[in-house]
Amino acid sequence: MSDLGDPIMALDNVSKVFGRADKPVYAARSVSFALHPGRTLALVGESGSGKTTAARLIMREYFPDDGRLLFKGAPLGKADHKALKAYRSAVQMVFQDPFAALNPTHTIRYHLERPLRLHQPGLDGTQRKAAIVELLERVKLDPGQMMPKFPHELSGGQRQRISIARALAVNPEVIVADEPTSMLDVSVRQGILNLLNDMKAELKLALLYITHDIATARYVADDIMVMYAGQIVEWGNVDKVLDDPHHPYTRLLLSAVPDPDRRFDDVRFADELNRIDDIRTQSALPQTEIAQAGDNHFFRPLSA
Amino acid sequence: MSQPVLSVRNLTIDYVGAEGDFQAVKNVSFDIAPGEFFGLAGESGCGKSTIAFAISRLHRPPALIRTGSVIEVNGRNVLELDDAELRRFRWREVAMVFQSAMNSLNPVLTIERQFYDVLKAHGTISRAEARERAAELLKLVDIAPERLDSYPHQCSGGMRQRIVIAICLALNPKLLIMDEPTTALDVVVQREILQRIDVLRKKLGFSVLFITHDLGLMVQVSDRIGIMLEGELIEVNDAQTIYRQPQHAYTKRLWASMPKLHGEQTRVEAMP
Repeated sequence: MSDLGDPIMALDNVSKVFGRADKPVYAARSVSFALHPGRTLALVGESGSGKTTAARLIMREYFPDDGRLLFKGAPLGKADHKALKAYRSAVQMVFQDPFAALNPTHTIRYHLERPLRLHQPGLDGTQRKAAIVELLERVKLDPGQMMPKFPHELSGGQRQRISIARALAVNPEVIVADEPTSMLDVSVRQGILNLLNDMKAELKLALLYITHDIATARYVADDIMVMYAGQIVEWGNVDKVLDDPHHPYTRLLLSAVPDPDRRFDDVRFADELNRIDDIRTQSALPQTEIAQAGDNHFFRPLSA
Repeated sequence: MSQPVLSVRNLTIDYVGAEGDFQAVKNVSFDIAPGEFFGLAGESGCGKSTIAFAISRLHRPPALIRTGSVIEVNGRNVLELDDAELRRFRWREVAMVFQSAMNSLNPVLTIERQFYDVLKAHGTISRAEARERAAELLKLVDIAPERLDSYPHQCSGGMRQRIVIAICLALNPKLLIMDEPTTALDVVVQREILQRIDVLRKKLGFSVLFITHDLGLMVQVSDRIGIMLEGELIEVNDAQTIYRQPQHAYTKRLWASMPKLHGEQTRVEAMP
Protein backbone atom coordinates (compact mmCIF):
# COMPACT_ATOMS: atom_id res chain seq x y z
CA MET A 1 0.00 0.00 0.00
CA SER A 2 3.00 2.26 -0.44
CA ASP A 3 2.02 3.99 -3.70
CA LEU A 4 -1.13 5.57 -2.29
CA GLY A 5 0.40 8.83 -1.12
CA ASP A 6 0.42 9.99 2.46
CA PRO A 7 -2.15 8.45 4.75
CA ILE A 8 -4.48 10.79 6.62
CA MET A 9 -4.15 8.84 9.80
CA ALA A 10 -2.43 5.72 10.95
CA LEU A 11 -2.03 3.46 13.94
CA ASP A 12 1.62 2.59 14.46
CA ASN A 13 2.24 -0.55 16.50
CA VAL A 14 -0.59 0.22 18.89
CA SER A 15 -1.44 -2.04 21.83
CA LYS A 16 -4.30 -1.74 24.29
CA VAL A 17 -4.43 -3.94 27.35
CA PHE A 18 -7.32 -4.55 29.72
CA GLY A 19 -7.52 -6.58 32.89
CA ARG A 20 -5.09 -7.07 35.73
CA ALA A 21 -1.36 -6.84 35.34
CA ASP A 22 -0.89 -10.53 36.08
CA LYS A 23 -3.65 -11.53 33.65
CA PRO A 24 -3.57 -9.03 30.80
CA VAL A 25 -6.07 -9.20 27.95
CA TYR A 26 -4.77 -7.70 24.73
CA ALA A 27 -7.68 -6.03 22.97
CA ALA A 28 -5.16 -4.71 20.46
CA ARG A 29 -1.71 -6.19 20.03
CA SER A 30 0.82 -4.31 17.87
CA VAL A 31 -1.89 -3.08 15.52
CA SER A 32 -0.66 -1.03 12.56
CA PHE A 33 -2.64 0.26 9.63
CA ALA A 34 -3.10 3.44 7.62
CA LEU A 35 -6.14 5.13 6.11
CA HIS A 36 -5.72 6.74 2.69
CA PRO A 37 -7.99 9.29 0.99
CA GLY A 38 -10.47 7.73 -1.45
CA ARG A 39 -9.90 4.22 -0.14
CA THR A 40 -11.94 1.89 2.03
CA LEU A 41 -10.26 -0.41 4.48
CA ALA A 42 -12.42 -3.15 5.97
CA LEU A 43 -11.73 -4.59 9.40
CA VAL A 44 -13.36 -7.98 9.94
CA GLY A 45 -13.34 -10.44 12.80
CA GLU A 46 -15.62 -12.07 15.33
CA SER A 47 -17.13 -10.34 18.34
CA GLY A 48 -14.46 -9.75 20.94
CA SER A 49 -11.65 -9.80 18.39
CA GLY A 50 -10.79 -6.14 19.01
CA LYS A 51 -12.51 -4.47 16.07
CA THR A 52 -14.37 -1.96 18.17
CA THR A 53 -11.28 -1.34 20.32
CA ALA A 54 -9.49 -0.32 17.13
CA ALA A 55 -12.34 2.09 16.35
CA ARG A 56 -12.23 3.52 19.86
CA LEU A 57 -8.49 4.03 19.67
CA ILE A 58 -9.01 6.00 16.49
CA MET A 59 -11.84 8.01 18.05
CA ARG A 60 -9.64 8.81 21.08
CA GLU A 61 -12.04 7.11 23.44
CA TYR A 62 -9.17 4.85 24.42
CA PHE A 63 -5.55 5.84 24.59
CA PRO A 64 -2.92 3.36 23.44
CA ASP A 65 -0.87 1.63 26.14
CA ASP A 66 1.88 1.31 23.59
CA GLY A 67 2.48 2.64 20.08
CA ARG A 68 1.43 5.87 18.39
CA LEU A 69 -1.52 7.37 16.59
CA LEU A 70 -0.37 9.46 13.63
CA PHE A 71 -2.47 12.24 12.11
CA LYS A 72 -1.12 13.52 8.80
CA GLY A 73 2.26 12.14 9.69
CA ALA A 74 2.58 13.66 13.17
CA PRO A 75 1.99 11.77 16.40
CA LEU A 76 -1.11 12.98 18.21
CA GLY A 77 -0.42 13.73 21.87
CA LYS A 78 -2.93 13.67 24.68
CA ALA A 79 -2.62 17.31 25.67
CA ASP A 80 -2.53 19.24 22.42
CA HIS A 81 -6.09 20.58 22.38
CA LYS A 82 -5.82 22.48 19.14
CA ALA A 83 -4.53 19.45 17.26
CA LEU A 84 -7.19 17.32 18.93
CA LYS A 85 -9.98 19.60 17.77
CA ALA A 86 -8.67 19.50 14.21
CA TYR A 87 -8.43 15.74 14.53
CA ARG A 88 -11.98 15.41 15.85
CA SER A 89 -13.45 17.31 12.95
CA ALA A 90 -11.35 15.31 10.50
CA VAL A 91 -12.30 11.93 11.92
CA GLN A 92 -15.99 11.10 12.30
CA MET A 93 -17.86 7.98 13.25
CA VAL A 94 -21.04 6.22 12.14
CA PHE A 95 -22.37 3.83 14.77
CA GLN A 96 -23.93 0.41 14.59
CA ASP A 97 -27.28 1.14 16.15
CA PRO A 98 -29.14 3.84 14.25
CA PHE A 99 -31.85 3.75 16.91
CA ALA A 100 -29.51 4.65 19.77
CA ALA A 101 -27.22 7.03 17.86
CA LEU A 102 -29.79 9.83 17.59
CA ASN A 103 -31.25 11.80 20.47
CA PRO A 104 -34.99 11.03 20.64
CA THR A 105 -35.87 14.48 22.01
CA HIS A 106 -34.37 16.46 19.15
CA THR A 107 -35.39 16.98 15.53
CA ILE A 108 -33.29 15.88 12.58
CA ARG A 109 -32.55 19.53 11.87
CA TYR A 110 -31.07 19.91 15.35
CA HIS A 111 -28.89 16.83 14.88
CA LEU A 112 -27.35 18.28 11.75
CA GLU A 113 -27.20 21.87 12.96
CA ARG A 114 -25.19 21.12 16.08
CA PRO A 115 -21.99 19.87 14.42
CA LEU A 116 -22.20 22.83 12.03
CA ARG A 117 -22.43 25.30 14.94
CA LEU A 118 -19.51 23.70 16.74
CA HIS A 119 -17.15 23.16 13.87
CA GLN A 120 -18.09 25.99 11.50
CA PRO A 121 -18.95 28.87 13.84
CA GLY A 122 -18.62 31.37 10.97
CA LEU A 123 -21.89 30.34 9.32
CA ASP A 124 -25.06 32.40 9.86
CA GLY A 125 -28.54 30.88 10.13
CA THR A 126 -29.32 30.97 6.41
CA GLN A 127 -25.99 29.44 5.50
CA ARG A 128 -26.46 26.73 8.10
CA LYS A 129 -29.87 25.86 6.74
CA ALA A 130 -28.46 25.69 3.23
CA ALA A 131 -25.73 23.38 4.53
CA ILE A 132 -28.32 21.10 6.18
CA VAL A 133 -30.36 20.94 2.98
CA GLU A 134 -27.24 20.02 1.05
CA LEU A 135 -26.31 17.31 3.55
CA LEU A 136 -29.74 15.72 3.44
CA GLU A 137 -29.73 15.78 -0.35
CA ARG A 138 -26.31 14.18 -0.33
CA VAL A 139 -27.65 11.21 1.66
CA LYS A 140 -30.70 11.13 -0.65
CA LEU A 141 -33.35 12.24 1.80
CA ASP A 142 -35.97 14.93 1.22
CA PRO A 143 -34.80 17.96 3.28
CA GLY A 144 -38.21 19.63 3.59
CA GLN A 145 -39.76 16.44 4.85
CA MET A 146 -36.92 15.36 7.10
CA MET A 147 -35.86 18.48 8.98
CA PRO A 148 -38.82 18.83 11.35
CA LYS A 149 -39.04 15.10 12.08
CA PHE A 150 -37.95 13.28 15.21
CA PRO A 151 -35.84 10.10 15.09
CA HIS A 152 -38.74 7.81 16.03
CA GLU A 153 -40.61 8.87 12.89
CA LEU A 154 -37.84 7.48 10.70
CA SER A 155 -37.03 3.96 9.54
CA GLY A 156 -33.73 2.30 10.43
CA GLY A 157 -32.27 3.00 7.01
CA GLN A 158 -33.31 6.65 7.14
CA ARG A 159 -31.78 7.04 10.59
CA GLN A 160 -28.52 5.56 9.39
CA ARG A 161 -28.54 8.06 6.53
CA ILE A 162 -29.00 10.85 9.10
CA SER A 163 -26.01 9.47 11.06
CA ILE A 164 -23.94 9.58 7.90
CA ALA A 165 -25.13 13.13 7.11
CA ARG A 166 -24.20 14.18 10.64
CA ALA A 167 -20.73 12.71 10.21
CA LEU A 168 -20.35 14.54 6.89
CA ALA A 169 -21.46 17.88 8.40
CA VAL A 170 -17.97 18.76 9.61
CA ASN A 171 -16.26 17.97 6.28
CA PRO A 172 -14.36 14.98 7.63
CA GLU A 173 -11.48 13.28 5.90
CA VAL A 174 -11.90 9.96 7.66
CA ILE A 175 -15.11 8.10 8.49
CA VAL A 176 -15.07 5.14 10.84
CA ALA A 177 -18.20 3.06 10.31
CA ASP A 178 -18.65 0.39 12.98
CA GLU A 179 -21.11 -2.25 11.70
CA PRO A 180 -23.26 0.43 10.03
CA THR A 181 -25.59 -2.04 8.33
CA SER A 182 -25.78 -4.98 10.71
CA MET A 183 -29.10 -3.83 12.17
CA LEU A 184 -30.69 -3.12 8.80
CA ASP A 185 -32.59 -5.32 6.36
CA VAL A 186 -30.76 -6.70 3.34
CA SER A 187 -32.71 -4.52 0.97
CA VAL A 188 -31.97 -1.34 2.96
CA ARG A 189 -28.38 -2.42 3.62
CA GLN A 190 -27.52 -2.14 -0.04
CA GLY A 191 -28.58 1.50 -0.15
CA ILE A 192 -26.35 2.41 2.78
CA LEU A 193 -23.36 0.55 1.33
CA ASN A 194 -23.84 2.29 -2.02
CA LEU A 195 -24.05 5.62 -0.21
CA LEU A 196 -20.77 4.96 1.63
CA ASN A 197 -19.16 3.97 -1.66
CA ASP A 198 -20.34 7.15 -3.36
CA MET A 199 -19.20 9.36 -0.45
CA LYS A 200 -15.78 7.80 -0.55
CA ALA A 201 -15.43 8.44 -4.28
CA GLU A 202 -16.97 11.92 -4.42
CA LEU A 203 -15.45 13.39 -1.25
CA LYS A 204 -12.15 11.47 -1.34
CA LEU A 205 -12.87 10.13 2.12
CA ALA A 206 -10.80 7.52 3.85
CA LEU A 207 -13.23 4.91 5.14
CA LEU A 208 -12.67 2.33 7.83
CA TYR A 209 -15.50 -0.18 7.51
CA ILE A 210 -15.76 -2.44 10.55
CA THR A 211 -17.96 -5.50 10.20
CA HIS A 212 -18.35 -9.19 10.73
CA ASP A 213 -20.17 -9.53 7.44
CA ILE A 214 -17.40 -10.43 5.04
CA ALA A 215 -19.55 -10.32 1.93
CA THR A 216 -20.43 -6.67 2.53
CA ALA A 217 -16.77 -5.94 3.30
CA ARG A 218 -15.92 -7.24 -0.13
CA TYR A 219 -18.65 -5.07 -1.62
CA VAL A 220 -17.27 -1.79 -0.27
CA ALA A 221 -13.58 -2.28 0.54
CA ASP A 222 -10.36 -1.94 -1.40
CA ASP A 223 -8.26 -3.52 1.33
CA ILE A 224 -9.19 -5.79 4.19
CA MET A 225 -7.73 -6.74 7.57
CA VAL A 226 -8.74 -9.85 9.50
CA MET A 227 -8.49 -9.47 13.25
CA TYR A 228 -8.43 -12.16 15.91
CA ALA A 229 -7.70 -11.83 19.64
CA GLY A 230 -6.40 -8.28 19.19
CA GLN A 231 -4.00 -9.15 16.39
CA ILE A 232 -4.35 -8.45 12.72
CA VAL A 233 -3.66 -11.92 11.38
CA GLU A 234 -3.98 -11.25 7.65
CA TRP A 235 -4.32 -8.13 5.51
CA GLY A 236 -4.05 -6.79 1.99
CA ASN A 237 -6.06 -6.40 -1.20
CA VAL A 238 -9.61 -7.54 -0.51
CA ASP A 239 -9.91 -9.97 -3.42
CA LYS A 240 -6.52 -11.52 -2.81
CA VAL A 241 -7.19 -12.11 0.87
CA LEU A 242 -10.65 -13.56 0.30
CA ASP A 243 -9.80 -15.67 -2.75
CA ASP A 244 -6.52 -17.00 -1.41
CA PRO A 245 -6.54 -16.84 2.40
CA HIS A 246 -3.26 -17.85 4.02
CA HIS A 247 -3.96 -17.64 7.75
CA PRO A 248 -5.96 -20.57 9.22
CA TYR A 249 -8.27 -18.18 11.04
CA THR A 250 -9.11 -16.33 7.80
CA ARG A 251 -9.92 -19.69 6.25
CA LEU A 252 -12.13 -20.63 9.21
CA LEU A 253 -13.93 -17.31 9.03
CA LEU A 254 -14.52 -17.67 5.32
CA SER A 255 -15.78 -21.23 5.64
CA ALA A 256 -18.33 -20.03 8.20
CA VAL A 257 -19.79 -17.30 6.01
CA PRO A 258 -23.32 -18.28 5.01
CA ASP A 259 -23.15 -19.48 1.46
CA PRO A 260 -26.37 -20.68 -0.20
CA ASP A 261 -24.34 -22.85 -2.57
CA ARG A 262 -23.04 -25.02 0.26
CA ARG A 263 -25.40 -27.13 2.37
CA PHE A 264 -24.50 -27.92 5.95
CA ASP A 265 -22.60 -31.16 6.25
CA ASP A 266 -23.23 -32.97 9.54
CA VAL A 267 -20.57 -35.62 9.07
CA ARG A 268 -17.74 -33.14 8.71
CA PHE A 269 -19.13 -31.08 11.56
CA ALA A 270 -17.72 -32.90 14.61
CA ASP A 271 -14.31 -32.90 13.02
CA GLU A 272 -14.56 -29.19 12.28
CA LEU A 273 -15.47 -28.33 15.85
CA ASN A 274 -12.15 -29.67 17.12
CA ARG A 275 -10.37 -27.80 14.41
CA ILE A 276 -12.16 -24.57 15.33
CA ASP A 277 -10.88 -24.80 18.89
CA ASP A 278 -7.34 -25.55 17.74
CA ILE A 279 -7.30 -22.67 15.31
CA ARG A 280 -8.71 -20.33 17.93
CA THR A 281 -6.13 -21.33 20.53
CA GLN A 282 -3.23 -21.03 18.16
CA SER A 283 -4.36 -17.82 16.53
CA ALA A 284 -4.65 -16.17 19.93
CA LEU A 285 -0.91 -16.52 20.59
CA PRO A 286 1.20 -13.45 19.88
CA GLN A 287 2.97 -13.70 16.53
CA THR A 288 5.71 -11.29 15.61
CA GLU A 289 6.72 -12.72 12.25
CA ILE A 290 5.06 -11.34 9.13
CA ALA A 291 5.04 -13.21 5.84
CA GLN A 292 4.18 -11.85 2.43
CA ALA A 293 1.78 -13.93 0.37
CA GLY A 294 1.83 -11.70 -2.68
CA ASP A 295 1.70 -8.11 -3.84
CA ASN A 296 -0.27 -6.24 -1.14
CA HIS A 297 -1.13 -9.41 0.77
CA PHE A 298 0.42 -10.24 4.17
CA PHE A 299 -0.25 -12.59 7.08
CA ARG A 300 1.19 -13.66 10.41
CA PRO A 301 2.14 -17.33 10.13
CA LEU A 302 1.49 -19.47 13.20
CA SER A 303 4.66 -20.64 14.85
CA ALA A 304 4.63 -24.42 14.65
CA MET B 1 -46.84 -36.49 3.99
CA SER B 2 -47.62 -37.62 7.53
CA GLN B 3 -49.60 -35.35 9.78
CA PRO B 4 -47.80 -32.01 9.97
CA VAL B 5 -46.46 -30.80 13.32
CA LEU B 6 -47.66 -27.33 12.52
CA SER B 7 -50.45 -26.43 10.18
CA VAL B 8 -51.30 -22.78 9.67
CA ARG B 9 -54.47 -22.04 7.71
CA ASN B 10 -55.79 -18.66 6.55
CA LEU B 11 -53.98 -16.88 9.34
CA THR B 12 -54.90 -13.21 9.41
CA ILE B 13 -53.62 -10.92 12.13
CA ASP B 14 -54.49 -7.26 12.53
CA TYR B 15 -52.98 -4.64 14.76
CA VAL B 16 -56.04 -2.76 15.85
CA GLY B 17 -55.62 1.01 15.80
CA ALA B 18 -57.78 4.00 16.65
CA GLU B 19 -58.01 5.17 13.07
CA GLY B 20 -58.01 1.82 11.36
CA ASP B 21 -56.47 -1.60 11.53
CA PHE B 22 -53.11 -2.57 10.17
CA GLN B 23 -53.12 -6.00 8.62
CA ALA B 24 -49.76 -7.51 9.57
CA VAL B 25 -50.46 -11.04 8.37
CA LYS B 26 -52.75 -11.64 5.43
CA ASN B 27 -54.36 -15.04 4.93
CA VAL B 28 -51.18 -17.06 5.39
CA SER B 29 -51.21 -20.88 5.12
CA PHE B 30 -48.31 -23.31 5.43
CA ASP B 31 -47.37 -26.66 7.01
CA ILE B 32 -44.29 -27.92 8.76
CA ALA B 33 -43.67 -31.69 8.65
CA PRO B 34 -42.16 -33.65 11.55
CA GLY B 35 -38.39 -33.14 11.64
CA GLU B 36 -38.51 -30.44 9.01
CA PHE B 37 -36.38 -27.28 9.05
CA PHE B 38 -38.64 -24.55 7.71
CA GLY B 39 -37.28 -21.07 7.03
CA LEU B 40 -39.39 -17.93 6.95
CA ALA B 41 -37.71 -14.93 5.35
CA GLY B 42 -38.65 -11.34 4.76
CA GLU B 43 -37.83 -7.80 5.76
CA SER B 44 -38.58 -6.25 9.13
CA GLY B 45 -42.25 -5.45 9.34
CA CYS B 46 -43.32 -8.17 6.92
CA GLY B 47 -45.13 -10.11 9.66
CA LYS B 48 -42.76 -13.02 10.23
CA SER B 49 -42.28 -12.41 13.96
CA THR B 50 -46.01 -11.78 14.35
CA ILE B 51 -46.62 -15.29 13.01
CA ALA B 52 -44.02 -16.76 15.38
CA PHE B 53 -45.66 -15.10 18.37
CA ALA B 54 -49.14 -16.18 17.27
CA ILE B 55 -48.11 -19.84 17.10
CA SER B 56 -47.38 -19.90 20.84
CA ARG B 57 -50.26 -17.48 21.46
CA LEU B 58 -47.83 -14.91 22.78
CA HIS B 59 -49.35 -12.11 20.74
CA ARG B 60 -50.88 -9.36 22.81
CA PRO B 61 -53.37 -6.61 22.09
CA PRO B 62 -53.51 -4.62 19.87
CA ALA B 63 -52.65 -7.73 17.83
CA LEU B 64 -55.84 -9.56 16.96
CA ILE B 65 -56.10 -12.92 15.24
CA ARG B 66 -59.12 -12.78 12.96
CA THR B 67 -61.80 -15.49 13.05
CA GLY B 68 -61.32 -18.10 10.38
CA SER B 69 -57.62 -18.41 11.21
CA VAL B 70 -56.42 -21.84 12.26
CA ILE B 71 -53.11 -22.76 13.88
CA GLU B 72 -52.91 -26.49 14.48
CA VAL B 73 -50.06 -28.07 16.40
CA ASN B 74 -50.20 -31.87 16.29
CA GLY B 75 -53.79 -31.63 15.15
CA ARG B 76 -54.98 -29.38 17.98
CA ASN B 77 -56.15 -25.84 17.30
CA VAL B 78 -53.92 -23.61 19.42
CA LEU B 79 -56.35 -20.73 19.13
CA GLU B 80 -59.02 -22.64 21.07
CA LEU B 81 -56.92 -23.66 24.08
CA ASP B 82 -58.01 -22.35 27.49
CA ASP B 83 -55.50 -20.96 29.97
CA ALA B 84 -54.66 -24.25 31.69
CA GLU B 85 -54.25 -26.07 28.38
CA LEU B 86 -52.16 -23.20 27.08
CA ARG B 87 -49.77 -23.48 30.03
CA ARG B 88 -49.28 -27.14 29.34
CA PHE B 89 -48.93 -26.53 25.62
CA ARG B 90 -46.26 -23.83 25.72
CA TRP B 91 -42.69 -25.04 25.98
CA ARG B 92 -43.85 -28.69 26.05
CA GLU B 93 -45.03 -28.70 22.44
CA VAL B 94 -43.69 -25.44 21.08
CA ALA B 95 -40.59 -23.76 22.48
CA MET B 96 -39.25 -20.45 21.28
CA VAL B 97 -35.80 -18.90 21.06
CA PHE B 98 -36.29 -15.18 20.93
CA GLN B 99 -34.35 -12.54 19.10
CA SER B 100 -31.26 -11.68 21.19
CA ALA B 101 -32.18 -14.65 23.35
CA MET B 102 -28.79 -14.47 24.98
CA ASN B 103 -30.16 -11.51 26.92
CA SER B 104 -33.25 -13.41 28.03
CA LEU B 105 -31.45 -15.24 30.84
CA ASN B 106 -31.98 -13.88 34.32
CA PRO B 107 -28.73 -12.15 35.31
CA VAL B 108 -29.05 -12.84 39.05
CA LEU B 109 -29.69 -16.58 38.84
CA THR B 110 -27.22 -19.34 38.08
CA ILE B 111 -27.66 -21.38 34.93
CA GLU B 112 -28.75 -24.36 37.02
CA ARG B 113 -31.50 -22.35 38.67
CA GLN B 114 -32.88 -21.28 35.30
CA PHE B 115 -33.15 -24.89 34.16
CA TYR B 116 -34.79 -25.78 37.46
CA ASP B 117 -37.40 -23.04 36.96
CA VAL B 118 -38.52 -24.53 33.66
CA LEU B 119 -38.44 -28.15 34.81
CA LYS B 120 -40.27 -27.41 38.06
CA ALA B 121 -42.97 -25.35 36.38
CA HIS B 122 -43.81 -28.21 34.03
CA GLY B 123 -43.70 -31.22 36.34
CA THR B 124 -42.60 -32.48 39.72
CA ILE B 125 -38.86 -32.86 39.86
CA SER B 126 -36.30 -32.73 42.66
CA ARG B 127 -33.40 -30.32 42.63
CA ALA B 128 -30.92 -33.15 42.14
CA GLU B 129 -32.87 -34.69 39.26
CA ALA B 130 -33.20 -31.28 37.65
CA ARG B 131 -29.47 -30.75 37.91
CA GLU B 132 -28.82 -34.08 36.27
CA ARG B 133 -31.25 -33.32 33.46
CA ALA B 134 -29.75 -29.84 33.01
CA ALA B 135 -26.26 -31.31 32.71
CA GLU B 136 -27.58 -33.70 30.08
CA LEU B 137 -29.16 -30.83 28.14
CA LEU B 138 -26.01 -28.72 28.31
CA LYS B 139 -24.10 -31.65 26.90
CA LEU B 140 -26.36 -31.55 23.84
CA VAL B 141 -25.15 -28.04 23.07
CA ASP B 142 -21.57 -28.92 23.98
CA ILE B 143 -21.26 -27.01 27.23
CA ALA B 144 -19.46 -28.49 30.25
CA PRO B 145 -21.70 -29.27 33.26
CA GLU B 146 -19.48 -27.06 35.46
CA ARG B 147 -21.19 -24.13 33.77
CA LEU B 148 -24.36 -24.89 35.75
CA ASP B 149 -22.93 -22.91 38.64
CA SER B 150 -22.02 -19.92 36.47
CA TYR B 151 -24.02 -16.74 36.13
CA PRO B 152 -25.00 -15.55 32.64
CA HIS B 153 -22.43 -12.73 32.61
CA GLN B 154 -19.65 -15.28 33.04
CA CYS B 155 -20.56 -16.94 29.74
CA SER B 156 -19.87 -15.61 26.24
CA GLY B 157 -22.71 -14.54 23.95
CA GLY B 158 -22.55 -17.72 21.91
CA MET B 159 -22.54 -19.83 25.04
CA ARG B 160 -25.55 -17.99 26.47
CA GLN B 161 -27.38 -18.53 23.20
CA ARG B 162 -26.66 -22.25 23.38
CA ILE B 163 -27.84 -22.35 26.99
CA VAL B 164 -31.15 -20.78 25.96
CA ILE B 165 -31.51 -23.41 23.25
CA ALA B 166 -30.78 -26.14 25.80
CA ILE B 167 -33.50 -24.74 28.08
CA CYS B 168 -35.86 -24.73 25.10
CA LEU B 169 -35.20 -28.41 24.54
CA ALA B 170 -35.78 -29.26 28.22
CA LEU B 171 -39.30 -30.60 27.67
CA ASN B 172 -38.71 -32.27 24.31
CA PRO B 173 -40.83 -29.86 22.26
CA LYS B 174 -42.14 -30.98 18.90
CA LEU B 175 -41.50 -27.60 17.34
CA LEU B 176 -38.71 -25.14 18.03
CA ILE B 177 -39.34 -21.59 16.86
CA MET B 178 -36.21 -19.52 16.40
CA ASP B 179 -36.75 -15.82 15.73
CA GLU B 180 -33.47 -14.38 14.44
CA PRO B 181 -31.54 -16.58 16.88
CA THR B 182 -28.07 -15.63 15.76
CA THR B 183 -28.23 -12.06 14.49
CA ALA B 184 -26.15 -10.76 17.38
CA LEU B 185 -23.44 -13.39 16.95
CA ASP B 186 -20.48 -13.58 14.61
CA VAL B 187 -20.40 -16.01 11.71
CA VAL B 188 -18.22 -18.70 13.24
CA VAL B 189 -20.38 -18.97 16.37
CA GLN B 190 -23.53 -18.65 14.28
CA ARG B 191 -22.58 -21.60 12.15
CA GLU B 192 -21.57 -23.62 15.17
CA ILE B 193 -25.00 -23.09 16.75
CA LEU B 194 -27.04 -23.75 13.63
CA GLN B 195 -25.12 -26.86 12.71
CA ARG B 196 -25.73 -28.11 16.21
CA ILE B 197 -29.47 -27.46 15.90
CA ASP B 198 -29.41 -29.27 12.58
CA VAL B 199 -27.73 -32.30 14.18
CA LEU B 200 -30.09 -32.21 17.18
CA ARG B 201 -33.29 -32.03 15.18
CA LYS B 202 -32.20 -35.09 13.23
CA LYS B 203 -31.31 -36.88 16.46
CA LEU B 204 -34.33 -35.84 18.54
CA GLY B 205 -36.80 -35.45 15.70
CA PHE B 206 -38.21 -31.99 16.42
CA SER B 207 -39.16 -29.52 13.69
CA VAL B 208 -37.76 -26.02 13.40
CA LEU B 209 -39.37 -22.79 12.30
CA PHE B 210 -36.42 -20.55 11.54
CA ILE B 211 -36.95 -16.83 11.06
CA THR B 212 -34.15 -14.69 9.74
CA HIS B 213 -33.26 -12.11 7.20
CA ASP B 214 -29.93 -13.74 6.48
CA LEU B 215 -30.93 -15.40 3.25
CA GLY B 216 -27.65 -17.18 2.57
CA LEU B 217 -27.79 -18.88 5.93
CA MET B 218 -31.44 -19.78 5.43
CA VAL B 219 -30.79 -21.53 2.13
CA GLN B 220 -27.86 -23.39 3.69
CA VAL B 221 -29.76 -24.87 6.59
CA SER B 222 -33.47 -25.06 5.68
CA ASP B 223 -35.37 -27.84 3.96
CA ARG B 224 -38.11 -25.53 2.77
CA ILE B 225 -38.40 -21.75 2.69
CA GLY B 226 -41.31 -19.34 2.68
CA ILE B 227 -40.83 -15.75 1.54
CA MET B 228 -43.01 -13.04 3.06
CA LEU B 229 -43.78 -9.61 1.69
CA GLU B 230 -46.00 -7.11 3.49
CA GLY B 231 -47.92 -9.75 5.41
CA GLU B 232 -48.38 -12.18 2.56
CA LEU B 233 -46.61 -15.45 2.02
CA ILE B 234 -45.70 -14.98 -1.61
CA GLU B 235 -43.62 -18.06 -2.35
CA VAL B 236 -42.98 -21.41 -0.66
CA ASN B 237 -40.71 -24.07 -2.03
CA ASP B 238 -37.83 -26.32 -1.07
CA ALA B 239 -34.65 -24.39 -0.33
CA GLN B 240 -32.61 -25.23 -3.39
CA THR B 241 -35.49 -24.65 -5.83
CA ILE B 242 -36.42 -21.31 -4.36
CA TYR B 243 -32.77 -20.28 -4.49
CA ARG B 244 -32.03 -21.50 -7.99
CA GLN B 245 -35.41 -20.93 -9.64
CA PRO B 246 -37.22 -18.17 -7.74
CA GLN B 247 -40.64 -17.53 -9.23
CA HIS B 248 -41.71 -14.28 -7.62
CA ALA B 249 -40.10 -11.01 -8.70
CA TYR B 250 -39.54 -10.03 -5.06
CA THR B 251 -37.69 -13.27 -4.30
CA LYS B 252 -35.44 -12.64 -7.28
CA ARG B 253 -34.67 -9.15 -6.03
CA LEU B 254 -33.95 -10.48 -2.53
CA TRP B 255 -31.33 -12.87 -3.90
CA ALA B 256 -29.87 -10.11 -6.04
CA SER B 257 -29.41 -7.84 -3.02
CA MET B 258 -27.02 -10.30 -1.35
CA PRO B 259 -23.39 -9.26 -1.79
CA LYS B 260 -21.29 -12.15 -3.06
CA LEU B 261 -18.18 -13.51 -1.42
CA HIS B 262 -16.52 -14.71 -4.60
CA GLY B 263 -16.83 -14.08 -8.29
CA GLU B 264 -17.88 -10.96 -10.07
CA GLN B 265 -19.03 -8.04 -7.96
CA THR B 266 -21.70 -5.85 -9.45
CA ARG B 267 -23.29 -2.80 -7.97
CA VAL B 268 -26.74 -3.65 -6.76
CA GLU B 269 -29.28 -0.88 -6.55
CA ALA B 270 -31.37 -0.79 -3.41
CA MET B 271 -34.97 -1.87 -3.65
CA PRO B 272 -37.47 0.94 -3.92
